[in-house]
Amino acid sequence: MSWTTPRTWVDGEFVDASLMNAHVREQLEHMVASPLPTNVAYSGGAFTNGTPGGTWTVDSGDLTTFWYYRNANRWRASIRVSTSSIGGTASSQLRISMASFLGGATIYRNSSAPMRRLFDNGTLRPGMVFCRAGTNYIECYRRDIGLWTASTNNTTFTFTVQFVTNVNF
Amino acid sequence: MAWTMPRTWVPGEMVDAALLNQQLRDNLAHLVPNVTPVDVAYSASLWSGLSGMTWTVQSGDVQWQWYYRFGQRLTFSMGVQATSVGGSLGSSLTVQLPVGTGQFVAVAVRVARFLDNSVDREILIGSLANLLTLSRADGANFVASTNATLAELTVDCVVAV
Repeated sequence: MSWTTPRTWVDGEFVDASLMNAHVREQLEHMVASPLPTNVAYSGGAFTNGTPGGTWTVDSGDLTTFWYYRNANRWRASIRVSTSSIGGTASSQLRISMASFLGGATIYRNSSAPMRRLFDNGTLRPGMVFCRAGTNYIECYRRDIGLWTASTNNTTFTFTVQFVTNVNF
Repeated sequence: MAWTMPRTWVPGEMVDAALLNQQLRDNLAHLVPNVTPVDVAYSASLWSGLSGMTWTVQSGDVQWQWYYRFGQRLTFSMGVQATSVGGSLGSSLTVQLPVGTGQFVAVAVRVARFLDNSVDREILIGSLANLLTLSRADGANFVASTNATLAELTVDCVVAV
């Protein structure tokens, strides 16, 4: 029941059940119900280190929450990464790509949110995330913008962030 | 997208693309519209402090400041850096919301990032009439600063308009 950009129909096409269910039933259900978030499938390539030479390894079992909820071009995404690993060149920025569900859209205006909980190589710290206009990824930082501590299966955080994209119908 | 009265369909009619685009695409887009965030025009009077404290934000200090609103629900986001705090130091800095002139309730949230005279702090967001209030989580007063206070936040509010 995720919201889908309303379809532009063309003359002569065969309108089957799949189209009607996606573009009539589910859209109407979305508007009158509390829509369910859409889970994002794990992809190791979505998690990268913002500094060349740095690494951030999030195994499939480390991603315990990754969903988004969309209302037109207004989005919320919630993520919990646990027991991930950081290595290589020290960096202050970790990145989570949203390309798999944003399509060609990008973030329209900057926004930010606090992390709910962050363990930086096991040490509890404040953290924050930043959605930068013009990009399609979430930047994750220690709140002091310090360098992430190298870790092996010991970096964990949780957050929910909202942002607006430039999608136009 | 403009709203078109829902059509009463009749047996045997030819449903073409024009009808579906009007009745489905455009009406759905009207009901769940895109938003274009409104960038807030700079005004030094938007930032202040309670009880004689001052918060000086110059136009070049504003990294972003936007909002959008659906009815009474307001989403507001702001990033300012290299700002100054002075006067009679207290525990609450304030930001005037761009819309909403009466009482409102802010969702209980924390500021994403705040540097209090360059020191990282945990900051809570509250509300007072048409103001967002920022308070240190430890209850202490803010520190006087010259071009060394930073705040970044995004918050949902319910406003009276």
